[in-house]
Parts: sequence; structure tokens; C-alpha cells
Amino acid sequence: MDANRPALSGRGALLLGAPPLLFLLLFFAYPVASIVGLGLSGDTVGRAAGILDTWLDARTVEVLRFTLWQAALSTVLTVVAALPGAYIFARYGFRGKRLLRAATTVPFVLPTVVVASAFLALLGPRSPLNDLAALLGAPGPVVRLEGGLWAILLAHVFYLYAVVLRLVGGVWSNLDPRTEEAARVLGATRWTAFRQVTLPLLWPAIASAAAIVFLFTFTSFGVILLLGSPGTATLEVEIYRTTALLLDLPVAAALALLQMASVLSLLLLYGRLQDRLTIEQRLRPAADATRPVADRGSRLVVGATLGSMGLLLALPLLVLVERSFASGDGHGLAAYRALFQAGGRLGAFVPPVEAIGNSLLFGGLTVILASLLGLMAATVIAYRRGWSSRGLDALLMLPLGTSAVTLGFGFIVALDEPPLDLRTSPLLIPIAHTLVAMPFVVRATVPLIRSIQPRLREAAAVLGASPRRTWLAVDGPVIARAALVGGGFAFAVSLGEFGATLFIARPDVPTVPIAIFRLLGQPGSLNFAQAMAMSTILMLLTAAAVLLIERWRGDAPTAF
Amino acid sequence: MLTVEGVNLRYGEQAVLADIDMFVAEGELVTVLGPSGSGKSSLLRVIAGLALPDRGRVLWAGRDLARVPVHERHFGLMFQDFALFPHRDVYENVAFGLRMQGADAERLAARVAEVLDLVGLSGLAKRAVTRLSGGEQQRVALARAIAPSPRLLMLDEPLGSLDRAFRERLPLQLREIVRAIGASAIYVTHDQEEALGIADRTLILREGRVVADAAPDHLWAQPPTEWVARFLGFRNVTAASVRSGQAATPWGTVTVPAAVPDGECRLVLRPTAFVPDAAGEIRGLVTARLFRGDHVRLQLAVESGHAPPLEVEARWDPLPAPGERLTLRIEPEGVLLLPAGATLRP
Amino acid sequence: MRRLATALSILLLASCDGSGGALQPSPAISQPPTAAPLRELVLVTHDSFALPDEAISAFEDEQGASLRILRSGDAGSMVNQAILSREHPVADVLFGVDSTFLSRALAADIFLPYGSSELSAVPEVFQVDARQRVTPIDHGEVCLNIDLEAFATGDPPAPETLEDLTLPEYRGMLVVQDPASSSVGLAFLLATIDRFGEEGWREYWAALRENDVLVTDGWEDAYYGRFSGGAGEGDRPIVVSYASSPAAEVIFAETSLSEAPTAAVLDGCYRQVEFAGILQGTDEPELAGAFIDHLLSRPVQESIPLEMFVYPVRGDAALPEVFLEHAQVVEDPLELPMADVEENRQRWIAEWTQTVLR
Repeated sequence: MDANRPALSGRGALLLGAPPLLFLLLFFAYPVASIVGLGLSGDTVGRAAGILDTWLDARTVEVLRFTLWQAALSTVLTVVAALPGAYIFARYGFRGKRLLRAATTVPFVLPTVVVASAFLALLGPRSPLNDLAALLGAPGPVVRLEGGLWAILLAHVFYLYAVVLRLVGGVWSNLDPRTEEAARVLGATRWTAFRQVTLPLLWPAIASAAAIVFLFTFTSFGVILLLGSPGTATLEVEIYRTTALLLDLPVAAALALLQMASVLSLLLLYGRLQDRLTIEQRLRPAADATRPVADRGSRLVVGATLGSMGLLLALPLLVLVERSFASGDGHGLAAYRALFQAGGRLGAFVPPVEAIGNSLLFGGLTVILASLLGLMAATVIAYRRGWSSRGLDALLMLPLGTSAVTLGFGFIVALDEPPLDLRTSPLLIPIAHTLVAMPFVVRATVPLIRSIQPRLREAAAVLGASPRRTWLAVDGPVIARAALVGGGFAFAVSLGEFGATLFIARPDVPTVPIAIFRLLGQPGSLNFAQAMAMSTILMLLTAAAVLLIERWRGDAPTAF
Repeated sequence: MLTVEGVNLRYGEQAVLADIDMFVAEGELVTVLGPSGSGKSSLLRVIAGLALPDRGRVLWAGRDLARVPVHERHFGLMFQDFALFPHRDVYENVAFGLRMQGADAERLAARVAEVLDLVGLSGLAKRAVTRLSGGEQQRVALARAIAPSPRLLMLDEPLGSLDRAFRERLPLQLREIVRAIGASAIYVTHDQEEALGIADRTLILREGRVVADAAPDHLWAQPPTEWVARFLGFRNVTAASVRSGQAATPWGTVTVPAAVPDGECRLVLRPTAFVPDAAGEIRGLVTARLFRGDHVRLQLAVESGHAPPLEVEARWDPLPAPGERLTLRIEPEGVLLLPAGATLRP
Repeated sequence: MRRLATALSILLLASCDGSGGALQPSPAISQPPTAAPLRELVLVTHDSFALPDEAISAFEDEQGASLRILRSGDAGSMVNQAILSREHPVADVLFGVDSTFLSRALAADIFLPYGSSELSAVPEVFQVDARQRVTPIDHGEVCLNIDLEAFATGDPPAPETLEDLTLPEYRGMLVVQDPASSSVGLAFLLATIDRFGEEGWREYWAALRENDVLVTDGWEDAYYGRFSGGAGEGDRPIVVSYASSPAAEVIFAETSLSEAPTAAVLDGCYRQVEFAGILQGTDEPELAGAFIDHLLSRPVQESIPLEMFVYPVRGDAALPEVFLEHAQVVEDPLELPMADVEENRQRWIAEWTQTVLR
């Protein structure tokens, strides 16, 4: 059966697998090892601390508890919020459904800084809600964002809605609706039929989605940093604060290790969960299962769900864009014009527009580097069997599991001596971005290569093509398309990367997320509006990248 | 007794069911036949209450079911593709309806055993449904539908996904089981052999309308329209002029039965009614042959004029072969007169 | 593939404009076509740095160089960045490390010692580093500021001491800065430590927390975002700021004021001295030294109050009128010895965080 699958020779695999492996070793394993080393040495000023001491410290325990707590809350809220959406997408057909489904994915691919900005705009002191309240005669601002958890939770729900919608909705739409109907004919009410027939079949998808949401919110950084107050700290934020503000590297190292250990355990748990909950299902194409929105009851359900979806997903972004035009009194392009000027009462502050150029440049470099290395790795993974391919695959995914903050911190700690003296080199940024983007390239490419039907190669061979020509003719176009998709992802990831970049960016070479962060830290409505303007631009750039990805991907299967 | 009165159903812009009138007496087995897309499944869904008609009523024993929700109608529905609960085993699937009725554990166990025995699956109670063969799944679906003793049993293409081998025996078995439980039954299929084979009465649906409603033998003897005739598999339909017991057809002159009046009409020449006769009026060349064991189906290219191929079923010895020239006559009983005005588009 | 390559090359070309070149260590600024290439001095400072344009152009003309200013956030993060980038400094000279963060910077050994010729005019009390690794430039007193309008009725009366802030009538009125990130916040913390001693300062802060104190990340957010007085857009009438802030209010008021809308609470003020230093690894040590001399020159020192609202260290620098009228003089500011601060700062911040934020 595998006779016609082109195999990669051992030497070829070594040649192709070496660069990505080396890259991982230098820029992931080495920094992580440095973190471990630093944490183990643990002599901090004024406190004798081993890793365990830090871990067991009351403050660390509190931080960990808070991290788990907000992640759990976020998960529950997201699942509950998105289930109605999953239902109507699975069971109803209405105009614009496909567009809407693509639109719900936009919040997920937005950089966290943009999400945080949008909710700052909506729920912060400068919210249009406050303007409205003032118009209606309210004495003071209605929304203030003073350290409450709500803004963070809402931002998480906004960000991760699409995950639940796609995972649960996808499985739901493939469930045979007649199973539920059979239950109803046999005497079950609608609710009983749902509970006893549909829900058990939906649980694996719900659990999967919940696990992903939990993982993301556990490692959430940008949202918590920007929407929280000095008192709200999750593990990630604490690592950042301990490093950037307190410069207590050993403690930060211990925290980073705790972070890695937690994420690892969560991932293992997730793996176990996956195995236990799969039930064989008869899949039918989704088109059969939907019905039109005909009667009043359906109209009510669909309308209410779509309405709340719009409120949750579209409103923050609309407010973001609107606030970018509102600076001082009235609306205008003042903020956008200000982007070209150096700020401050003195000249020569880096004009924000430069950050856009930097981000695009770094994005381009990331695309090249990530695509090159990613394709090499994908080739080894897809064309070889056995431990070499599986091992490389697992290794490549590791940076994804490590939080960006930990990565950035690792760079600071490790890369300060020649020949890897890159700590303050701008080159470090595309390197960091590549670490995070490479897995996406691999994940996009490998399934596509694997899905090439052997029959196509057989047909080419019968028609007279040599193995090399066959590979070029059959695999080549697929790989090229996968490279485009992977490159698109790499670009989008690079544009929005915040956590690691915050550690390693130089003040004269900011990226757009860094510039937004800086602008948000300055007072005054013009600075705020500029931050909104930059966020809007970043949002548009990301959306463009994603649209291109969707176009190039077509309907081909990928891992997500 | 089920009455369906003037039921109309639209799906968006399209009319799925139009002016359906139907009656099923107690204990009757009615089959509903029609090509795909004719609305058969939709009819069942309306009767079950899964879809509400835009116009018309469904009545049981004279009582309008409009306000009766699906789970209270006490009908049984066996789905195309069976729709078994994949996460439950055979026993739990069959027991579901009884659980909904609130049966106590003892009665439940007894009834499930009884029903499994009826369909021939006792011993498989604990098997996971995903590990059953197609035929076994079908029987579980049937068992599940009849376990709660429904007053009306509806079967939607029950043989749809099974091998040919099953199609011969199972309709009979189904009818026996339905009789045994004493329910009325509606059996929906697109296969005319199935439909006519076991029914007390057969309805034929075309594009959402009822175009025939009669006992199978009546339908066979006298199809109400040409479309029905063609749908039932009748071949050799033609226009003809009748004069004094002789009809001029494109294939030659044939003798018609006595009852056929003079004038223009449309006739069906049954393929089974041809016999070789040296003095016959029909002469042709065998252009195609389908071997069927004890008979062959032939296509005859008739010499006279531009007639379409004539379909002949030959049982005589030796069986004709392609390229052979045949001279035939047709028995008058094999000539069927289609009702007046019964052109292809009723 | 070709599309992507073309797009990328366009992108790369587009971002390589005059001020781009993110990969080059010393980017050139666009120059007039006839002049010889200029030397460039890079200054890294915090967001509150300001000098009049004449002072800058005077330096640039005199030295035949151009000055490029990098703002690196608040003083604390600026110092941290400088420490982390010690091997490849982002600038030639750093301005804005103050006495609270000085110990950290000195311990990390990021400065090149420099003895400015202008130091003779600076009082001894400001020259804290015997090795002259940093040069004092200005000083300010960190004091509580109050919104006079909020206390105009006399009920409650304006607070006068640090202890007053723990009283129930001032509940929910105070906003302070996180000492981990803000030098102003740290100065205030040190003031309370000096006042209440090692045994009492934690209780004091616990009481403040009970009294609903608000903590922000930086001075900007606290003053402009949360303070209600003067230019502030918030709703809390007591903020930690500078003794010179009321004068700043008068200067920047839209209509001319005879009285400042805010006032400093003179009890519990903490002296902060701000320093400049040449960063190790610079290519332009002489130019950097000349800049520090320039900062200490009398005209520039005299311009400091109106630009940055702190006092010049130079003994013979004259203060502007508005300062003499509206800025209160702090007689006896609190100040902890630098050695104490160096030894305990980390621990104090950690304990403060535990007491107030957790």
C-alpha cells in the first residue's frame, strides 16, 4: 500500500531535519535549560529561595489559584455562551451562514493586544458608553474597569467563542438529526431527546473545546496585562512583572518552570481525555441536517442567538474602530495623522508609523524563516515513518506549549554571551516569532501532504512519469499551496506576537503591539486614540492575512 | 385509522406535498411508492408530527392531531438508515420507547425480550449497535419502533441500505411482524416490487401529489395514467388507432380485447404477452438481450417505420439471441388500454 | 509563490526608508544634502523627560552632532532595560535614574565614570556617588497633592499628615503608584518607611488598604487618569506627585489662574535626585560627556523647572517666578541612606506588594 509513497532516504531526512532541529536546540532548548539552571541556583537578594521555596510561597500559590480560577470561569462562560451559536449553525440553514462562520473566527486570530484594546475601548473610562451615559444625564462614568474580573472574562469569551463554535458546531452538524427525531417519536420531549441522545454524543467535542479554552486562558497574557490592575496577576503576568519591573531573575525563573510544568500537565490531561471519549459516529454531510428558518419559534431562536453573537463579537471591534476616530471633541482623522508624527513635547520619539514598518519587516522575515524551516521539518514528518518523524513533530510543538512570556524570558537569560549574544539584537524578534510560527507551518503542510491519494501517483506513474516527475507533478502543487497557507499563518502570528516581543524589543525598534502597549500607557485622549488607531490597523492587517489564508486553503483539510 | 386531509407542505419556495388525501384502516398495510423527491419521507414526517403542514389535517380515529406533539402521538417510525443510538447497546435502544412510557423494570425486560425474539435477535441484547451488520441493525431499528406497541407503524425505506439478497425475503418477514403486532402500517419505498409485493393498498406519489391509490392487483391490471404505467415498469406504451378490434401501432397491427372501442387511444403492450408466430404481424431484429435465468428481456428493432424498440420478455425455448429475426404476435389479454385523457402529463 | 515573493520584496523595500533599517545599530537620520555626515548622540530617558528646543539645538550646533532621544517608559523599566542590554546598550547616555533606583543601576555596573567640570557649582549633598559613575542633574520632592476644590467646604478638612490618610473621612480618596514600576511610588513607600520605621510601615499600608487606596502602574495614569484636581480627569482628590505639581497646574492652565487648584501636603515628602550617566559600551564617550556638561550648564539648569517641574541641582541657578510663587518649599524632606535602600529595596517592595496588592 505504501509502495507508491515517495520515501525519504535516511540521509535526506538527516539533511532536511537538521536545520529545524538545530534551530529548536539553539533557540528553545538552550533558553529553557538556562531558565532551569537559573531557577535551581536561586540566590535572590534578601531571600534564600530554591525553586520549591518560590513555588510554595504564599504569593505564588495565590497567583496560581487566581490563574486557575479565571481560566475555569472563562471556560465555563465561553462554553455556555457559544453553545446556542453551535446549535443554530448545526441545525439551521440561513443566508450568509458561511460568511458568518468565517467572521466568528476573526476574534480568534486577532492579536491579544487588539482584543485588549477593543475591550479597553468598550469598558474602560473612555468608553462611548460613558459618553452616552453623560448625554443621558448620569453623574459619573458608568464603566470604569477598576480591577474587576469582568472585562477579562468577556475578552476571553470574545476571543475563544469561535473555538467552541467550530468544534462543537462541527460535530453537531455531523450528528444524524434523525437519532434525536427517533427519540422524540418514541416518546421523548425535545429536551429529553437532547439530553439523552444528543448531549452524550456531543460531550467529547464540548470537552475538547473546553480543554482548549482552558489552556488558552491559563496562558493568557496580553489581555490580563492590559485589562487588569497591578493587583491582578496570573502566572504569566507575574513572570513578566518579576522580570521587567523587579528584575528578580531567579524568582522569575522558578515561576517560569512552574508555568511550563502546569501547561505540560494540562496537555497530558487533555490527551487522556481525548482517548477516553471517542464514540464511533455515522457521519453524514452537514447539508442534510439543516432546516430553513421557517416558523416563528425558529426565527426567535435564531434571531436571538445571532443578535447576542453580534453584540459579543462585533460590538467591541466596532467600538475600537470608532474610538480611533474620536480624539478630543468630535470625530476625525486626528489620531491617524498623529501616527506619522513623533510624539511628546520634544521631537524624535519614534513615530508609531515606524512600528508598522518594523512589524511588516519582521513579519516578512518570519515568513521566510518559518516557511523554510517549517517545510523542511514537514517534509521529514510527512515522508518518513517511525520515531524520527514523530519525535520531530512532538519537538516542534513544544514552543507552542511554552508560553510566549517564558520564551522571551528565556532569551533574555540565555542569549547574553557570544557567539549567541543576541539579547538586544533586533534579529531576535523574527527568531522568536519563527519559533512560534513554525508549528503552524508544519500543521498546515503535513496533513495536506498526507492526504495526497496514492492513486494519483499511480496514475502518473502509469502515464509514464519518473518518480521525480511524479513527485513534482502530484506533490509539488500541494506542498506549494500548503507553503502559502503556512506562510500566511506565520505572518499573522508574527504581526500579533506580544508576550515574547515585550521582553526583547528595543525601544528604538518597536513592533505594532509594543507601540500600542506604550501608547496605552500614556495619558491623554490623543494617545489613547492613537493606540486605537494602531489597533485598528493591526486588526485590518491580520484580517487581510487570514482572508488570504482562507482563499489559498480552499476546502482542503488541515488540523484546524 | 389514520386520515390525512388536504395536506400541503412547502419547503421554502418549493411545494413538497400538495393536496394529499389518504386513509389507512385499522390493521391495514399501505405502501407509498414514488421516485426520490416525490415527498414520501416528508409525508411520514408530517404524520409523525416532525413537520407541521402548511394546510390540511392529520386525524387519528377522527381526532385532529394538530395540537398533539410528536412524543405523544404513539406512532412508530423506522427511519431510513435506522438512526440507532450509537452510544447505547441493542437492549437500551429497544428499551428506549418503553422507558419514555415509564414502564417498570420487569415489564420492560419482558417486552424487550419478546420483541427481540420476534425480529430474531435474541441473544444480541448486549451488543453495541456499531458492531452489528446492516441486516441486524435494520432489525434492531424495527424492534425499537415496535417495542412500545405503537398504534401506527411507519417504515421509511426500511430495505434501503441492504444487499439485494435481503430484499427478497425481508418484505415478507416485515409484513408478518406487522400483522403479528396488529398495528396499521405505512411502508414507504421507491422500489415498485417491494411496494406492490406486500401491500393491502398502494399509494403512488409524484411530485408531492397522489396519482394512484388502489390495491396492487388493480393497479397492475389497470394503471390510472400513463405515467403510473411507465413508473410501474410498463413498456411499449404507444398511441394507436383502433378499428373493429384491430389496432394500428408503430410496431404493426395487433388484436385488441373486445372491450376496446374504436378510435384513437393509448395502448400498452405487455412484454410478457408476445408469442412467436410465423403468421404474426410483428417482425423485428433482436438488438439487445438481458439474460434473466429462465427468461430473457429482448429489445426488438421492428422493421416497419420509425418505431421505438419493442420490449419483449421471451420464455420460449430456445431463448432468442441477439441478431436473430423474430416474427411475433401478441395475445389480446396482453394489450392494455390506458384511460382516456391519460397522457403522460395528467 | 511568485506573488508572495514579489509582495515580500516590496515590503522589504518599503520599510527600508531613511529612519528604518531596524537591523543597523546606529541608523542614520535623513541629512541635508550638502553637509558632512553628522555625529549622533543617542539619549535614553523616561517618558517625562523634556528640554526646550533651544537647549537641544544649542547642543547640536555647538557639537556638530544630532541628538536622538529614545523614550523607554517609566524610570524603573528604563533602568531594567538598560541593565538587561548592558552588552549592547541602546544609547550612549542615560538620563533619569533617580536615587530610588540608583542602587540597582550601580550594582549592575552599566555606567562609565565621568567627572563633569560643572560639578563645582553643585552642592555636595547631591553628589552621592564617590566614583562619579552618575552625575546629579535635578531634584524633586515627592509629596501628596490634594485637589483644593474637593476640600473647599472643610468637611472633611484637607489632610495634613501621612497619618491622616488612614482616617475614615478620607476613605477612597487616595491614589498611589506601584513602587515596583514607578519611582514616584517607590519614593512614597520609602517616605513611609522612614516615617514609621521597620516595625510600623506595614501596618500603615494595611490601614491604607482598608481605606480603599487605589494603586496604578505609573505616575501618568495616577495623576491624569485618577486624580480629580487640576488637569486630572479622575475622581480621587489625593495623589502622590511632586511638590512642584501645583506650579505646573498654574503654568498649563487654559485660563490664567492666580491660585493653584492643587496644593502639596508638606508632611511626608521624600527627596528624589535625578542622575545622568554615560553608558558603558558607547562609541561616543566624549560627546556624551559634553552632553552631561550641557545639562549642568546654567541656562539649561534654569530651564529645567518649567520643562520637567523639578529643581535644578546647580546652586546658582535662578528659579522662575511662578515657582517662587506657587511651588511650595519643602523644609525637611525625608530621605533614607542609599546603602539602606540598596540593601532592602527588593524586600520592601515584595512585602509592600504582599500587604497592599494580594
